[in-house]
Amino acid sequence: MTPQIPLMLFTLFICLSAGILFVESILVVRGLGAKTAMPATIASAVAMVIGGIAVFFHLEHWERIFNGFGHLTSGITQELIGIVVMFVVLVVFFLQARKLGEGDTLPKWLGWLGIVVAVAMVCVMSFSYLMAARPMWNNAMLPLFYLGNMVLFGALAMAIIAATKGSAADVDATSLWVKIGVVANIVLMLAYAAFCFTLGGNFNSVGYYLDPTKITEHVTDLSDFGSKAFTSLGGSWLWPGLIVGGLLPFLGFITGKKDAASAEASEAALGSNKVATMCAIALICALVGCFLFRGFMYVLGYTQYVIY
Amino acid sequence: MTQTAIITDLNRCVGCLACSVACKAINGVPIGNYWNKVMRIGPNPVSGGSGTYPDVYMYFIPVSCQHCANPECVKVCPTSASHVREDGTVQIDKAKCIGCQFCVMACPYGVRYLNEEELVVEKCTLCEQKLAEGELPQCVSQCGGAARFVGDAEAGLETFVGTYDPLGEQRKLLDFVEPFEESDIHRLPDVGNKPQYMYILRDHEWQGGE
Repeated sequence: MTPQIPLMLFTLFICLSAGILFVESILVVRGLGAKTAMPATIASAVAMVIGGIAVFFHLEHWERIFNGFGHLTSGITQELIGIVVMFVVLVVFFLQARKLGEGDTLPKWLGWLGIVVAVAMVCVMSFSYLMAARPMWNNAMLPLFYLGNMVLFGALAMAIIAATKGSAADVDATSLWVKIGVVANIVLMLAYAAFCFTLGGNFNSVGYYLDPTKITEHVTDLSDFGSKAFTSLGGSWLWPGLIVGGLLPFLGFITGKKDAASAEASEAALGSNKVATMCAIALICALVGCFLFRGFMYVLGYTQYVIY
Repeated sequence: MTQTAIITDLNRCVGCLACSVACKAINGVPIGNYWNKVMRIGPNPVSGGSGTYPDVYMYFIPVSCQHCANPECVKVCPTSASHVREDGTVQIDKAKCIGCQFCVMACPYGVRYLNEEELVVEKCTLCEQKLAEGELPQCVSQCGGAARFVGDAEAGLETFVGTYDPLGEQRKLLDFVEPFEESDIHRLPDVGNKPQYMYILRDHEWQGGE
């Protein structure tokens, strides 16, 4: 299937938006995140708007969006509901952050609400791609991969915010989630790629066939789907995605791990351009790499009855 | 409930593509889009044979929207543009379609297309405009092998009728085609969508699963 760029950007930026809300909410639950609340809320909202604008480019007739929009079994409708709910939570975060005085913290219930809504948003978004017709998508790897994206993007974005606007405790708490995100993301990417080897039997083969409208094209044979994923078209999206989105942030984390391991390091990271820059580079790599990985998921998103 | 559907006798289908061409002509299907496509399956080896000619077989299969009883395309449509009509067919209200193409992704058979001019998704309508006038779908009326029959799958195979013979008598499925068993009736692979089109294939191995 041809990669759908607007949808790829939408899922990417919603993962970023939800990830920022998720990590900020965790800080709030731990009694932290007061200083980062406002910039995190704004960053999350901006990412949501970018994703929202991107997805409009996918709609051929967006002006008809309210022309009966609301069929509840549709993943798109569910995504819209999720986005509205998450936006409301961001507004509550914004209002609470504005009221904060010196030494105040945000209410913990709001943190728990933010965690639940962020995770639910990413799950709802990924469920809309769980289509029985497409074996590559219709499995637990897809929501897990998106959740891994959420943690990684959110943790890196929050690390930048914490290093520039937060406290040492914020930096310390965020670095744990950078660690979790970096490891989870590369593990899930590798697991998803390896999972392709199990998919070959899901496609209905008709043996030899001829499509009279594509007489010069090769017969599509997906019995070796796994190896196709790593070579030819799949590989051209997979390897750059894995290296840029999985390996580079992981190597960056390994390199910077020693420096970031102590409380003193957290203090030193405050206001440090180096830390913020490193995290920004890692975030850009993660976004670009996971965008490419989405392309991999699309080019291998064959229908299970592939001959048409 | 009514479930209008088409049954095709694949042992009669000669792969003339008349149904594909007729469909494009009557429905104005854009270049590059196909609401009905005739695929050649095979030549595949006959089981127990040498694996090479003449121990091979092939058949032709017209593939289009299967007007499923539990259509995935209807479930994913955010505006209910894709819907199931009272006659059991799956139709698209183009005025409601926002062109999100999730139905294209959700269809297991890849039979939905984006009309690049109107920017809405289209597919086989089972010639609803002709059925409403008491006529046959164009792919049935112009079938070169008299292999296609339309009827109500809920009411039974005796309701399926096809083209007219030279004497003006309409051919009835059960009277006209060679005898077949229940096990000779096949459907395209079902991922929970319950395809309603049927294919009769005798003396050959059905390819592609059910």
